[in-house]
Amino acid sequence: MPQKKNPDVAELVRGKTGRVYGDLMTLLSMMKSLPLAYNKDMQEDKEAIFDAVDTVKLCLKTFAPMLGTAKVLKDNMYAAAAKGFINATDCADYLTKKGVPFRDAYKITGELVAYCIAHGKTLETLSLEEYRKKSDVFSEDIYNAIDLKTCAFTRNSLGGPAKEQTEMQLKALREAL
Amino acid sequence: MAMWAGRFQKEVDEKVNDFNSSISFDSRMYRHDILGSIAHATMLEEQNIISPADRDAIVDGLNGILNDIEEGHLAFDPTAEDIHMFVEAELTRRIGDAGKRLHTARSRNDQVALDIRLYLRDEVKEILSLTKELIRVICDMAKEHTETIMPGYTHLQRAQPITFAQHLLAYGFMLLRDMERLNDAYKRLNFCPLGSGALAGTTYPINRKRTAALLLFDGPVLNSLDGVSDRDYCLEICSAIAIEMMHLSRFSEEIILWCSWEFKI
Repeated sequence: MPQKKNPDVAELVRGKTGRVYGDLMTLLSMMKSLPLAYNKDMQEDKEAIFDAVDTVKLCLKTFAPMLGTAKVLKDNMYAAAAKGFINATDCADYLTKKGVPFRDAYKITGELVAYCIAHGKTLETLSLEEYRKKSDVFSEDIYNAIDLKTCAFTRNSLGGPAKEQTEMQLKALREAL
Repeated sequence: MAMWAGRFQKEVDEKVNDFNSSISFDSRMYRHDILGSIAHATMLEEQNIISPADRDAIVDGLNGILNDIEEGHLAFDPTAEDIHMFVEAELTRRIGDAGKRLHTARSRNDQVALDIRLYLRDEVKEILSLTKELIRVICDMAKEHTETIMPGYTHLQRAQPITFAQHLLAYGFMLLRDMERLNDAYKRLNFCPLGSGALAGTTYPINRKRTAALLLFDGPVLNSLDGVSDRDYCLEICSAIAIEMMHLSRFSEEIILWCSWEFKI
């Protein structure tokens, strides 16, 4: 099939994982009924542990170059995020921050999403009038609040995707190495 | 006489020998077997169990064998029972009776337990270093994508917007835990079973603390039965490896999904 470009390395890593689980089962089963002390059964330990060691080393050696050369399709990622009303939570949070009780905000947002689906729109393409038909709390700043970048970058709770948190995570990882 | 003895005897013997033999896979531990034997011989001489002349002959002979294997001048004999017998037979062929004294106050049971531990120490270090390298690649990649928006998923449904960096770093932390698990397993791996004998130690005045120190262990295993029959270290390392493979497999699964036309990200 000439149109296909298969992710062979990733598939092999996924496939080989089962083999390593098998090695662990081999070892656990080998040991479970052995009376003390040495028994010849224990000679079976080597092929299992050797295989596990060889496999993980091989996978690690191929994984890093695969990642390093991966092409990230940023625009496609963004486009995928822009579909599916991924910012609905942020729309509800916008209302809540303006004093609307959370349950009401959730319901209003649900109705807006239903309206969008019925009219082939997204939260970004709704007009302010359409927003205000559901709640007069909406004003021009809703568009900034539901902008995907705002949604991701303002999630600044500890461990979240905001830049400050990403930097914190990077620092923690690098220091641990 | 066994019921099956007689004209089948020779054929049966050969089959049983093949069945019994482990050299086809344990030969990879040749270096560790030799280093263990050098430490054992060193201690035997210090304890006046063998003579300095025998010790020198054994150590020189073993270093020669090690060198010849690594240079490709000495091939493993596939009919040898295991790597321990192969090395000892080769040593005796080279240095005569002194070679036969090497195995004094030792059994293959403690010898093999020692070899696996020495072998796994090296392997764990290599897995740790490869894992560290992968975490570095992930960190470098994350650094470039702190502003790359992607959908975050729950139930494989687009749920909330995140950054690609955030997604990548999740794997960085999984792999960091894998390193912690391996380091933890290493702590219990790093005790020396040599001197446990077949199962009940020995009447020779050996010095187990000395061989443990020569081989850079944290100390000797304190119970001889445990020394020869423990394989917890294989289980712990295999278990840590299985969990690490599970992480790599989850990452792989996502890469496979992302490469599909349905995702194409």
